[in-house]
Amino acid sequence: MSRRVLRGLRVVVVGLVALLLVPDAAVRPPVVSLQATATAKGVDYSDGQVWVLVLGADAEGHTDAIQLVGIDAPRRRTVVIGIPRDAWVDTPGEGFQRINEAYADGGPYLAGRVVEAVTGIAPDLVLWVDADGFVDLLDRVGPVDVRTPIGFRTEGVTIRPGRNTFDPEEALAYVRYRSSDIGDDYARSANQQRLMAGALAALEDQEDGIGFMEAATATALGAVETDLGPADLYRLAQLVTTVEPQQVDTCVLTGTPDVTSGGADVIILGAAAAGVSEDAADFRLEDGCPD
Amino acid sequence: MMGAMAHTRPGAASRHRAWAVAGLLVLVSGCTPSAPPVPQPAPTGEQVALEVSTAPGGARGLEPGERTALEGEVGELLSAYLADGFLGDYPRERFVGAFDDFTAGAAALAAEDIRVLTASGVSEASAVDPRSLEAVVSFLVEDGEVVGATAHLDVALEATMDDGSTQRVTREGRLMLLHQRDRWAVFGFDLAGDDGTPLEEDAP
Repeated sequence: MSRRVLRGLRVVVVGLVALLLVPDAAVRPPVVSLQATATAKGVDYSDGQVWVLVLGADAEGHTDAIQLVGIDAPRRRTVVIGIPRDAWVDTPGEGFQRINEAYADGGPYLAGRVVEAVTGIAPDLVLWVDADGFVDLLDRVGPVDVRTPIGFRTEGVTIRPGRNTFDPEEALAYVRYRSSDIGDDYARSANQQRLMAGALAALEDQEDGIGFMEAATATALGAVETDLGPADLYRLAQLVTTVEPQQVDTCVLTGTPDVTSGGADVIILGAAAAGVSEDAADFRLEDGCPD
Repeated sequence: MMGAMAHTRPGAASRHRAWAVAGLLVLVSGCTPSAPPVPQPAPTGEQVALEVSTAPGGARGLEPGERTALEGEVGELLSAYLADGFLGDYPRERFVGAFDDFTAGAAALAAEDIRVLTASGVSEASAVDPRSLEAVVSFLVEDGEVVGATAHLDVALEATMDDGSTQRVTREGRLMLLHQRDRWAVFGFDLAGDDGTPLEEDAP
């Protein structure tokens, strides 16, 4: 809990105690005056609007988590667009292949180009993290609360419907799980977004802890692959803390299941997918991704 | 080791007339709060120094001498901010000078929240005096180079109004700083406080 909240609670508690100590109704109770506490929060990062492509890779380097995060700091709005890793896309220089191969083939530039082709949104930044980096980051953030609609068991971890508190390894198992009992790739992408929401809340619980943001950034510098320099990553991390968790809209792009000539299960994204750029232009996605 | 220095930022003297007289001191601990700075006798009875210390573990990768120097640099920026934003001559109308060491973008954001980021809410006071000024700094160091820092501020002041009444003015929270081209600049803020009377939240 932040020091501000604690301080506010202390004031309220003092006020309540003062009221309880009033001896009897005949005595005019003292006026307990709680002063309003105002807050101001802002981070200078570009114009405050940034699109970040967050990629989580498996052991082979395939990016099985693909989330495009748009932050509009001035308006305190954030959108997260999940892209199923099986999306079958025309990849420059590679032809049609699953979208999760783009980063391994051409690094952040190619991954960004493919995501732009799918969504109509050009990422400003690409952050890539593997399983080890993921665990390091969450280890720094601490336990993460995640609310999930469907329970399942995977990698020795039992996921209950409702609220779960994950350590880093449990969180990794949660976001990796993919099975028809939760709805395949779309549900996994949605689970990744649920974990991101939980991690954001955990981050914001600790952001004003002395030394926390510096330690978190130092961890990120070792855990995340990015072209961002240390100063810009530090600024980005601070920008993320301005995100209001209750002002985050999420959705997952959907398409038509198909099987390639080679027998691979893929998803053909509908033409409407690119319309997400219009829907997300004001950093709102109340109606989800376009079908 | 402990050092004390008057706020003498080059080119800032004219902006800090009141505190050039009162002499806002910056006490840098040169050590962590586990060995707190020894209080120094203030040159005048009314003086309250800005005490700057480094958080435990908040200077990994820095030599002690570097850390002390950086504490001093950050302390100088903070003292300029506090002098321009909260102290100085009263009553007064201008507070934006407090953002001189902010990045352009941060200064623009700060101007929207000037009631929280300065003492403009008590601009009609006859005087504002410091009661306690503390900052704990945590540095981000990468490959031996300092990249940025967070200054955790906890300040309390007393505003004396026209009618002789006083109001306690407090601010608590963070200033986020970048260190680039040998200069510090504030690129973000997260402050809370009150002026002894309810502050109005700025409209979103």
